[in-house]
Amino acid sequence: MIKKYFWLWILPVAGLVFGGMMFFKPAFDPAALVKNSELGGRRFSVPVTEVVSPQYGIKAYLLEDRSNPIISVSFVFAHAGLGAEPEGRAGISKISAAMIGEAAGGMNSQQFKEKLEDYAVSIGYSADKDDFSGQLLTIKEFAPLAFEMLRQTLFEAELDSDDLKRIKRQMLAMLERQNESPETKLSLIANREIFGNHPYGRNPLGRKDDIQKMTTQDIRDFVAANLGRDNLIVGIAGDLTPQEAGRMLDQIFGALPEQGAVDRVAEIMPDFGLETVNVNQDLAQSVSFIAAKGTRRTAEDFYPLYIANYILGGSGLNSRLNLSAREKEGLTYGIYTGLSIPDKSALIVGGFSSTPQNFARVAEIFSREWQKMGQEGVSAQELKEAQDYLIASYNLRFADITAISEMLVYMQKTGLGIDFLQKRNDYVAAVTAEQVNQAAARYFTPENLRMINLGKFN
Amino acid sequence: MNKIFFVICLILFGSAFSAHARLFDISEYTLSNGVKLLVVPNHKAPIVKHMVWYNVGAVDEKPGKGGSAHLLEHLMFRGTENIPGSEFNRILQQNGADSNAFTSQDFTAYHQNLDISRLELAMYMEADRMQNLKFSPTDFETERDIVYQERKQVVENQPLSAFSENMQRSLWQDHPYAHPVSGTETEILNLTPDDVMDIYRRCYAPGNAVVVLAGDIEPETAYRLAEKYYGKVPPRDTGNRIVFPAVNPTLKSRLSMELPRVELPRIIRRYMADSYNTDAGRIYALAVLSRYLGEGDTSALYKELVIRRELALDVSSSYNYASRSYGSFNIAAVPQNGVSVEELRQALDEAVADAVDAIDDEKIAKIKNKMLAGLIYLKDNPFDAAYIVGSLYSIGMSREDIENYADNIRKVSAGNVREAAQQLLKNYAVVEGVANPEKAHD
Repeated sequence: MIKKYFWLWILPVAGLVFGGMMFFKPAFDPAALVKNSELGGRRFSVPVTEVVSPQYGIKAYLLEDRSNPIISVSFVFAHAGLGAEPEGRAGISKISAAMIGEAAGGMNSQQFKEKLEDYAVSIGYSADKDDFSGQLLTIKEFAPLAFEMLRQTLFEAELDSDDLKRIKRQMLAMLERQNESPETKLSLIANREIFGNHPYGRNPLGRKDDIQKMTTQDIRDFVAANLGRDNLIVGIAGDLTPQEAGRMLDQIFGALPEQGAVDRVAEIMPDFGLETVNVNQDLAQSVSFIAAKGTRRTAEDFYPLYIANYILGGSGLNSRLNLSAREKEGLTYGIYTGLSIPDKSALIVGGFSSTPQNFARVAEIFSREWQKMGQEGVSAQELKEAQDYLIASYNLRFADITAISEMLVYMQKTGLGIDFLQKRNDYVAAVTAEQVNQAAARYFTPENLRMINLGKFN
Repeated sequence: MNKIFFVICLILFGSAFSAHARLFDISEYTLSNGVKLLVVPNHKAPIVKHMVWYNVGAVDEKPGKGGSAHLLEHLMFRGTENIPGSEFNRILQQNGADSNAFTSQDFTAYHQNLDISRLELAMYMEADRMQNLKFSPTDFETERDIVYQERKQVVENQPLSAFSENMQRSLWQDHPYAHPVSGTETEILNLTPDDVMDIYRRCYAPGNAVVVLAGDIEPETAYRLAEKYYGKVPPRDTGNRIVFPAVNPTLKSRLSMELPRVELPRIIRRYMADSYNTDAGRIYALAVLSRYLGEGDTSALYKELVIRRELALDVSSSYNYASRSYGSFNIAAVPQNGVSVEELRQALDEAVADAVDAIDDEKIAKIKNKMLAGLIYLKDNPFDAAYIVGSLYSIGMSREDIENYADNIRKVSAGNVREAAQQLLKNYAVVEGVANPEKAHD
């Protein structure tokens, strides 16, 4: 009897106590944690200055940062990449990039590199489908020496024949190694399929036969024809005043010919409504490359499409594609989409890899989510979360000095304006759901989706 | 583990760094419950890297349970009692965090790059999943499938990764470093929730955790906030740590494999070498040796084999001392077209012997100068600093030793380097691996 009444009595009391505990236990409220954080509300300004060199009028963007005595200079010679390679010299832009950074100023390759290492100066050149680019990183104390060495690479490169022989061999080996990685092999196949005979369809490393016959004269010709002041874009970050930056620009780049590479490459917007291509190879996982028409960086629908892409496949584990194919079904380690905007085209690209038995299912999910994005667009909540991420993560791009100088080059190259860093978050915040959905309906259609796959297929 | 090599290279890439300067200016604290806190202030932007390192890796798995530490790392993103399902990812994402995690043989780390205004949120959430992990059976099975796919993508689809795994087995034999971090395919598919929760309960505890903050925060503030969030996690006994088995220093083995999709042969010599934990006094001489032998285009082996004799397309060396057990020292070479593997092997033997014979004070002084020249770059990127500091500290390196790297390199003599080389080449286990392109069969 007592036992019976005990339970009648204790259960409601226990319930009240437990309920009270739940009621008074502070619930997890992420927004309140951020709002009340003592670390919030810091002001951060990134004033970019346009520097104009006193003698030659060479322009550059500069972001001064005196927190550490180091300097990064990034620069590109626009249109001096793959598209500037003459017929029969495929690969000359990359070979030239390797060779002018190899030895200069009366020093042989070993002497030049020893000097760079002794003073912790880094100088490097590269070339891609659009541009020929360079990068310098130096400690402030040794900046005069570093600037002089960079100038020497542009005007006093040794172009030694033994160095060329070695670099050609290494380049030919890199051509062979491209087949070792399924992802690299697929990207070459996809470039050919999508861009055909356009320079973007070529192997970015060049052609074996062409590389074998290249001479130091070819390099001289390439450099003379393509590296000029009118196609030079420079970004500078770190411990340098505008006056010092101006003098540096004249010293390093002043003696370049006035005219550099001429833009000869045609725009290309391929047809992405073509059939899927499957290339067979015995692989543990099949890999997929997806491409579609996208938009230009300065187009009106850039930010709407950027956000739609972010929600579909650009936001890592939280993207619709990853939530469906990875988090829910465990079919793949990763699946993504992104915007790829070279000078002469504008693409949405994507990819995934999966074991052959899962592959068709992942491809189906990709197509389904793609079309759903086009037909239904995004929710207000999705848009807000995307904008929140893009704005809250914005300052992360200021972690690395080289990344900053490269960003300053990109801002100039794409015409984003000197105040871009101040305005960018406003651009993101101003995007409406209607704009995103219009862009989504325009680009995420069944006709605008091409899959090119490598592996084993049922 | 590859990232560790990057870290070591980063440290080694480095005259402008004045004598006695501290590498990072680390502040070190121990919270009331045993959590260690390291703070590296960097005020260039209002950002921070927040990392939690657990002193647990694949070596702490039970036999036959390979991959359980790595699968646990994945499941840490699958919810807690307070923050269920995939909310962890969604909330951090919405707050602009770039969030990820990784598992190695020796440690597991969780990290976010964040605007400083979001640090408290991330600390709350990391402290929460230090103690309240709770995932559903369905999420377990899905995540197991994902790590299976990860192994297929990262190891089995990349022939040289698969080759490296075989080299690890040959070199380490009965030592846990022989086993892949991912686990084998069979092991992955047979893992259970109990297997991963066993590691979580044994090893994910305050006394086993190191929190690293690098960015726009003062050490005292960081300490107060760490105590507020992490200090509340009840301390737990983490039990006995693994005792590493004795290794066989006389092992000198060769492994030759023909691999599909390998286009060029590679020769890789992997030595078992002293680490900070087996002989901290020797690691600086070995670091100088690696730089001297094969790091960069001005190194002794590159000059001899690539430039002078034109036998190799490339040759390089690397040294990893950031291990809980022994470290490793690698020398790798790619033969020039038309040069046989055997010819390059012999030339490599001669070149290494000649380079060691040629060690003198002048050469070593020059190498040390190069190693110290760029250390100031380490003060640039707070995200890199957090990674370097965390990876060294979590294997047991003291704050003083991390900070005094430059002084310790300066103290290395030519005699130290020669002696370290001779010891390495004679008295330590080594496997020489040759990866060959698959021959065409009729």
